[in-house]
Amino acid sequence: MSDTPERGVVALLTAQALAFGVMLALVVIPANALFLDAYGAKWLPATYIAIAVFGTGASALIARAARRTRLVRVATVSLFSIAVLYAASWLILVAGGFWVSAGLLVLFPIALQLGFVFIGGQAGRLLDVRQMKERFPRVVGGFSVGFLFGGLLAIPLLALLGSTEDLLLGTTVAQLAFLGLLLETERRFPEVRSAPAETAHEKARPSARTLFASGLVLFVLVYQVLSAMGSWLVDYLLFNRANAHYSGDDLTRFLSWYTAVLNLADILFLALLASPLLRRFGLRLGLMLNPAVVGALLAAMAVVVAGPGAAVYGLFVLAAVTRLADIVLTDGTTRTSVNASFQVVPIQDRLAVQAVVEGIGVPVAIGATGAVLLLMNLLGLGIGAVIVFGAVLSVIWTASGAAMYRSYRRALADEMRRRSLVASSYDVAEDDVALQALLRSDDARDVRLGLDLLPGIGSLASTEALRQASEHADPEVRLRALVQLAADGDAQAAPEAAALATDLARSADPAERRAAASALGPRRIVTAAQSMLIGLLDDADPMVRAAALDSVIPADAGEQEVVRRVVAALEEPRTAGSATAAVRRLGDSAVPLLTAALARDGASRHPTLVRAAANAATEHGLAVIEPALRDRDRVVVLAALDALDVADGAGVVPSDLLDDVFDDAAAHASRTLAARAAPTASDSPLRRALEDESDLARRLVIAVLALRHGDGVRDAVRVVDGAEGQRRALGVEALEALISREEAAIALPLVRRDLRPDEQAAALRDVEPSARSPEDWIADMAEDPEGVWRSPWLALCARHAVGR
Amino acid sequence: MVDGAQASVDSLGLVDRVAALHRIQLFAGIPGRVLAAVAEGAVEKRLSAGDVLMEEGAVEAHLYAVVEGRVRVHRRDRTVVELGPGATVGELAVLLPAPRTASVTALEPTLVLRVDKAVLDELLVDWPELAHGVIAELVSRLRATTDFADQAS
Repeated sequence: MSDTPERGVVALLTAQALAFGVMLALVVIPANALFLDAYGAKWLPATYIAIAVFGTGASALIARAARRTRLVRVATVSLFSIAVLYAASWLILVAGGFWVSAGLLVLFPIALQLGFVFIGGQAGRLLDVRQMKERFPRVVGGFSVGFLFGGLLAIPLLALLGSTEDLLLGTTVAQLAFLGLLLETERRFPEVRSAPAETAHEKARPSARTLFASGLVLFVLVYQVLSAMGSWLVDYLLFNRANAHYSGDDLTRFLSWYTAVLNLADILFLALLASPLLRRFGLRLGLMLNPAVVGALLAAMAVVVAGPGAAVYGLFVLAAVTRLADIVLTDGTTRTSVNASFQVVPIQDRLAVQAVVEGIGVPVAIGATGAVLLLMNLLGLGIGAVIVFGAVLSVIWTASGAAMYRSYRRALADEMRRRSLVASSYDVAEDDVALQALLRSDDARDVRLGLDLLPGIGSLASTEALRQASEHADPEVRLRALVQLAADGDAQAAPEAAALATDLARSADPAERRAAASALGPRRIVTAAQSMLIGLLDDADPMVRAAALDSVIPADAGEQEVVRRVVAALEEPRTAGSATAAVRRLGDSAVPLLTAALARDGASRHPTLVRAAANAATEHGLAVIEPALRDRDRVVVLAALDALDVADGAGVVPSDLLDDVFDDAAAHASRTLAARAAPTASDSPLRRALEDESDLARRLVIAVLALRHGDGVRDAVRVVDGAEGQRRALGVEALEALISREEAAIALPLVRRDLRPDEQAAALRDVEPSARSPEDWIADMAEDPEGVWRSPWLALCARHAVGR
Repeated sequence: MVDGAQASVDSLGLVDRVAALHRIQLFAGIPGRVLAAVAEGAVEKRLSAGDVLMEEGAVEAHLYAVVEGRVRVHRRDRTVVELGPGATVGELAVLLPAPRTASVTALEPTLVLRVDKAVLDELLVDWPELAHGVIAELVSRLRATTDFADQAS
């Protein structure tokens, strides 16, 4: 999504949140006032239980509807129904039915949760995960502004309309405004309709087990329940302490003042701090900051209760601060982080999961909090017990945040590994009849296929077919069948195979010589074959040489003539793959020659040699590959790192060496990106050379990160490179979750191809300590007096560009 | 056919050769520092209009990259395709040495770079992008040949 539509989306979602906030303020004020006037505070816990029951029911309904139809349709019906309920409540209240205020109190948290499900659901479809982290706090900020505005609006509205119950008319209007904005969002951004419904009809309804099969959803549910419980406990503590210090009009004045400060702090935090905090510290902080801060404040309150006692003003102040911190952090970091974490849930399940987690989890938490508070009151436990309970809850809540983050990282890594091509395990089946038919065929190609399949599914019955194949007209087939028979213990077949192999090795036909070479290994059926092997390793045809290399076995390690030829074959592209595998089989005996070859001037520029050295290094240590890793040429270093990664040699390279490569690559990227801004760099060859150097630095950084953090890094980069939109953002997110913050500061600007070079250069400006102008960098690379560029080609292009 | 005497009147510098190779679709994804080695080993040939670059049936193991000018790929008198700067001719022989399947004649003053099989083999091992380019080039050449056969029948 380009920047302009993104702004439009954020503006509309913020407007929705604003109307939503106004609506909620205009329902919570009359509902509380009317309920307390009519029934008193003692019945409030009963409304908590009702919230749990009705909230769960409403969420189940929404989740069911979400699987059957589009998000916007579900939201439209829900929001319109609630507007009708407000209007009906007004009519009932006007007629004297104050019992309906209890219903409004129950409806308030349900409407609160549903509103965020709908706003979050739209954001999830219209913004990617990184846009969510950056922009969603502003959307939530709209809600806070709306809530503040609604609260302030209540006073003149009350004077205008004349009675508290008439405020519900304003509530209904605000609700309809919310609905209208939602429909306008759908009209302007039709992609919001990409809800699961169209395909959901054809699919089985996801069971609870399916939804919770992902550990992440379970952790999100637990986290949300604990978050809601913590918030309601903190809420209760504030009202409990406020009631202890104020009463009557003083209490009302305090609540008005406190609400204003609360909302102002919330707005300021959302506007100034939430996005930078999440951008810099990520979801881990977003999930853990709220419970950790609340837990610390509750611990401080417990100390106060244990010391001066519950009655002191300091405890009241701490309760007010805790409530403020909880609201601010819930809106600023927790809500955004939870919404962002939903991005890894498959889109067809996302709304249902959100509805279950937020719509069922939260009401259940509220009901549980009410039950705990009622129980504590019944047992006569004081405020100290509530604080201690809250502190313990916060510790568990913090731990659940950490667990949820770990689960989120795993889910992201799994998502990155998702491929369109899924590796299948081929079950060749025990179809011995088909195998025998292949072996008995007159067509040499069929018999070769049968011989290829034989090691996997051979049987006694195949032996007869093999005997038949050993008399085939095709000499290669004949030899392979004889070798197979000899391997199966046929004493007569071995000398026949040796004789035939010797004949074929002298053949003028390369295909027959290749067959002879293949017969020499790996179990060395053909005896007295070492001289024949050496001859075939020297064959003029590379295919024959490759087959001979494939036949090299560990027992050949003692024969220097074989070892020498194997190492030499590494430098020939057409035999390098087979030679690399042969080097591994030869073990220690090949290492001295390989190390010497790599240390030879210029030899380290052979990627095939470097790959073989990396393979050998996994078993014989760093020394084999170290010359390549310390080479001045970054291309050689990259080849060594990539080869080590492929050979599972992550543990071979010491961390300080990896640090050096990473720092050098980062500085190189910073310099090349800075130089690209020079007018001289518009010269085509130099521009291309600088692009290539930036790409080389990027690949070095990725290679180091892959060795440090595993395959997940390459999976994430592959997604960043190959995907668009939401999936690409998920790739960036996955990479950020895998690596450290310091690494991310360098790697992300380099990995993200959606950034322009000047944006990348700005992000990496501080990496290279010696600040110079772009033109100075071009002049520097032409001569390279400090040896930082280390690229003769780049120097040549720079001189070409400046006309020297 | 062009011989060595006709080559290199005004030789390109190394940077210009690499820049020219970068304009060839086949080599576009290969970094300049790698192509510099290719360019150093490449042989420059300048042709006048009517000069024959390749002859049908000749067994050779190199390809030509057209840097400037225009060439005609033809079987006897029938034109298979006309190619200009950025095109390559003779890739099949580099992949699998066999008699040339068509002749190539310059239509105007033309500059080409000759790249040998050994160089391309080494590049193909280390640069999968090149293999993609070769496949794409072969497919387009196959299509052109099929069209040619359709028209001929």
